[in-house]
Amino acid sequence: METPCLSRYLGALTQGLFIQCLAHVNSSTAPCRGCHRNSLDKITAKTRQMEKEAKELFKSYLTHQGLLTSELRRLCNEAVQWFPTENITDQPKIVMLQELYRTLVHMKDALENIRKQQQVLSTPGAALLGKLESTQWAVRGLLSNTVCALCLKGILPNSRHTPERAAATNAFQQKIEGCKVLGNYSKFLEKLARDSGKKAPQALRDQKKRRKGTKRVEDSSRS
Amino acid sequence: MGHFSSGHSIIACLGSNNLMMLSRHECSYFLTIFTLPETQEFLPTFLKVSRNLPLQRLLVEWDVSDLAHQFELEMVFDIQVSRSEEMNVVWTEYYNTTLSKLNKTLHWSWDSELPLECTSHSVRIRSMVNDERFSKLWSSWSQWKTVLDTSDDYTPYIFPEDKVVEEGSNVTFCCIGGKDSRILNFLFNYTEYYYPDSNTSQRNMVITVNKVLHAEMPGIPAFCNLSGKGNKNYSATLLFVGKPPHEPKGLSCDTRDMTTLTCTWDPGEDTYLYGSSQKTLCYPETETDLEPIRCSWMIGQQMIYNLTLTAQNPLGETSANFVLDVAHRGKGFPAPFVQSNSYPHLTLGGLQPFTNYAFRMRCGAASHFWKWSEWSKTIRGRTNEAGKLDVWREVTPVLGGRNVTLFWKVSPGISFEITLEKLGKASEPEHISISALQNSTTISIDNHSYKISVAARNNIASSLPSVIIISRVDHTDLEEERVNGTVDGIYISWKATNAFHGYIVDWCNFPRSQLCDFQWKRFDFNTSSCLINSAAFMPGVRYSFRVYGSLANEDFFLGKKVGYTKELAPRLNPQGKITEMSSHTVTITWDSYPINESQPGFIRGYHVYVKTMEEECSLKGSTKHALSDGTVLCKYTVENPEEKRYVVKHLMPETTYALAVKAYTGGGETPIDAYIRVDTLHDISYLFVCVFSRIKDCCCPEIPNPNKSKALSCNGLKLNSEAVMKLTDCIPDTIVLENTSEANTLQLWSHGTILERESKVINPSWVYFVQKEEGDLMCTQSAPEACTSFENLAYSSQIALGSNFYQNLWMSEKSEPQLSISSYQPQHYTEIPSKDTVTSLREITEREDSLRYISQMEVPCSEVKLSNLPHSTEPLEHSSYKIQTVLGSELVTSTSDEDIHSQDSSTSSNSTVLLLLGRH
Repeated sequence: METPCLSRYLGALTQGLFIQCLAHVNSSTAPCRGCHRNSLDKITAKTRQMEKEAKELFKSYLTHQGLLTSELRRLCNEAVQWFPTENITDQPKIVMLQELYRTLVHMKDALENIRKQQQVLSTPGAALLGKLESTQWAVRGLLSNTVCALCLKGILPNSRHTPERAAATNAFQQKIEGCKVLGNYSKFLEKLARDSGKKAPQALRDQKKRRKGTKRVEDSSRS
Repeated sequence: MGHFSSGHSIIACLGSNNLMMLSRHECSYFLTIFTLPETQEFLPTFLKVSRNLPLQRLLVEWDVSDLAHQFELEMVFDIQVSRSEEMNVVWTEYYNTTLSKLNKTLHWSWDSELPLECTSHSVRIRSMVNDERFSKLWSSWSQWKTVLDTSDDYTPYIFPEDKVVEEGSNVTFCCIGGKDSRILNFLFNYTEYYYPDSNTSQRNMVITVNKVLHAEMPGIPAFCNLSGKGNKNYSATLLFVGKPPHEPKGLSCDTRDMTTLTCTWDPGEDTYLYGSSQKTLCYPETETDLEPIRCSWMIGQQMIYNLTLTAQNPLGETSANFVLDVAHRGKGFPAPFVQSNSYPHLTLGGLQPFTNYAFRMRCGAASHFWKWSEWSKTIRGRTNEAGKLDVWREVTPVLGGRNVTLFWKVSPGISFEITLEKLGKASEPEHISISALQNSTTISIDNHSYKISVAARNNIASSLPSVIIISRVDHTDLEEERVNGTVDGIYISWKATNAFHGYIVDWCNFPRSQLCDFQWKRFDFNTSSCLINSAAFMPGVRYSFRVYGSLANEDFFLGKKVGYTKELAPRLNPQGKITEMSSHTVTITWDSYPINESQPGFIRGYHVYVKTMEEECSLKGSTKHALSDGTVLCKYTVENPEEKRYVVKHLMPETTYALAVKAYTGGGETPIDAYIRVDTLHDISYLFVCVFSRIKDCCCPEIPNPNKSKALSCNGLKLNSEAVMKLTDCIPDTIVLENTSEANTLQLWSHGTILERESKVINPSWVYFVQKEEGDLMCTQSAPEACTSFENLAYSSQIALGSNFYQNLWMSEKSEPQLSISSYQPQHYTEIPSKDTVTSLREITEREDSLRYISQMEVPCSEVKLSNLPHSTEPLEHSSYKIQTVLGSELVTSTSDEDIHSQDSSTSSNSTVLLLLGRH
């Protein structure tokens, strides 16, 4: 099934503006061009890599912001609303990808906010700023892979609801907000990496099974 | 209102204007108004408490009864200040005052050691009349008045919030827990502070951290841990610990592109305050956030800058003042520099006098430097002799004398002393002092010779004076010579002789500007040419160079050279206008066109372009000029720029042409953008033919004026002017053919002399119209400039008609004895069968500018070919003819009756006389 919405999709992606379009798309159409068929595997691999980075970033943030005491860390562990509460890897693949996509879009914005905040507060050239920037790129990469994975599934991501920015609070509160995001992000990736790692062999087996079948079968199953 | 009891009375005495208070025995005759009891209580009312947070001061206001004010009682107020909701009294004070009738509100303030934001503060007051006559009893307490009442607030607070403090200072934090909550502990920079015994409230905690130190984090968290109810069980803030800005040091300013001055400095030690709290402001520029320790701004005319460098952060500001001389801020740059207002150039200091130097430059981008450019061409020069200024002058004649402008190369910190001395006259020298930074001055002198000395002077000493002698007669104007220039410069040469010690060439870098940036260059005695170049030279600007020979202190003008580095096409088009026009010619003039230095090149001449409306132009004497759109124009060239007139010839009558004039320089010319449209006039040609019978003298009779014609009545035709008389202007009447043998006076002109000869003229003769090969009809009448002619067609038709030829026959009258040679072309188609005659014709016509009548007398009438000549088919009976021959200036008349007779009545065309004015 084809939809014209898809043609606008990737262009909108780069601008951070997503158009609501829930229809299924044909993976062979232009928007999926440049997407590897093993986008899911890439997501898994990328998640593992990012999990470590996220932990390092969180640790760096705690250290750099003077938040290493248990009382303050406790604040950082508070849940952020837009992170999935449940384990998304338990969800069907498409739902998982959609949730991942939604979370990453939020994360991209949140990281930008943290970076801006730290640019004002931190010493120019602080290590934290470099780590934040690196994480921003990683999130963009994972987001791109997620979009590809969804596209190959013939699904467009759910429309994005731009989260409302937190009301202007004091510097401490901003610091804690950043800490919460990074703490939640680290946990989120940890779970994602762990669970997708468990399921990876199964996925690989499934993939191998599919490859044994004829091409026709594969094509028909995809469509 | 106070309470009254028995006792003392107060009397109010009404004076003139004032209400005065006196005791009864002093003023027994006054009216008793009030009586105050011995026990009087004035309860403080209208109590207000507010905070001045910057001063950490409680402001208290209250009032007492008006009565107390009326009696201006001396009173004492007991004021209590308490903290927190437990109302722990932390301050008690007795405040004595005498009430005033005017200022009724009472004020009191209290400075708090504990930040007022830390907890609620309450105040209450009671009063007492402080007078011996009254019982000293305190009034009741007023109600507590509280500020920062958090008793019902569930939101926890912390104070101070996001505060920036100087390192080493003591900081007091206050935690205020929400209602029903309790403070557990306070955490600051990984240090836990527990609830101190001194604290007054479980909801409030005041902790003072002594000598705070900066931490390697952006803001040290201060955290109050709370227990109890409430939606938030903590309050927290950040403390920014840093240092006030240090005084900036090591200001260093330089420029790499000669337009922007950039200053950097050492901000000193880290203040540990980053981000938006760090701001670099550059004055006098607009406030711009730039990277710290760097300021840039454009260099204008200003050389000396008073810079104030201010470092500012939330903890304070420090300033440092610098005086910056741009001329001295070239360190780090290849050489000290002086910024010019016109183009970048360097003035190198510290060179040896009278020494040859070679210079070359290279450049690189000041910001984002990548690599150096290639080296420039090497320039060589020699410094002047030691201790002498290089001074030059420009002499401008004015009424009664001359203005001498002296120029020298300016050097910072050096002033100049000028001595003016009249030569040959015993007079006191005149001294003029010129301040530093001035590089020229103008002196007015009379026509005598003067000696001008210029010496440079600094605080310590003076240089040797440079002497210039201005002679009685400075120089005579010589013809200016044009020189060629290239992008490399303008090449100037002169004839070097042994008579001079050296040569000087001067010029203006900006000749079109009032401040022309006067320049001069000196050359030694064996130099006879130079290539003058300047970064200021622009294409299309005429530069004028004066060459002087220098002998001792006197300079002699040798010549003026003018040239362009590159000539451009003229921007201004000649404003051509048509000043004369005929059927075949159009005269175009452009008198006002300037050919002076305002032009972007030397005007070499003009091109006149002619375009026909219909077809490709191919006029005689022109060259073809193709335009980019394919149109081909006729081009005529006027090579003399002074000649601002051109006559375009060989045009067709009654034809539309478009003309354009373009001036051209060595840079060419601009494309044609406008044409002048012109329609040539109608044409008519005459050939007068006199046909005579056998009469000795033949002449053309007096030519009748068409205006005075009986046969035509014409309107509006002016005489003595070249005009075309259109047939439509005239109403043809009947043919007037006078055919008498009366003697008539024929006036002939030759070389302006009227030759009169009385002869018998058959009047009129008939006029013959001859056709040139181009098809033009030509008038052969002898007075062309006042030639009244007719439209061609009318006459052509008459020619065609033949038989009616006489009906509208006319001859013009010549009113002026001037001959226009060009209008009288020999009509070559008239075949003269006799060889002798041809010879004689040739002989005759060898003499130009003469009116020549060629006798046809010897030609047998029968042999004259008349096939081409229109003639009347009607017999001319009673006509008589005279054959006239004019040779040169003489009138030769011969007659042959026989010849005439032989023609007689059969035809009158057998004998023909052509009136020819020979010019070949």
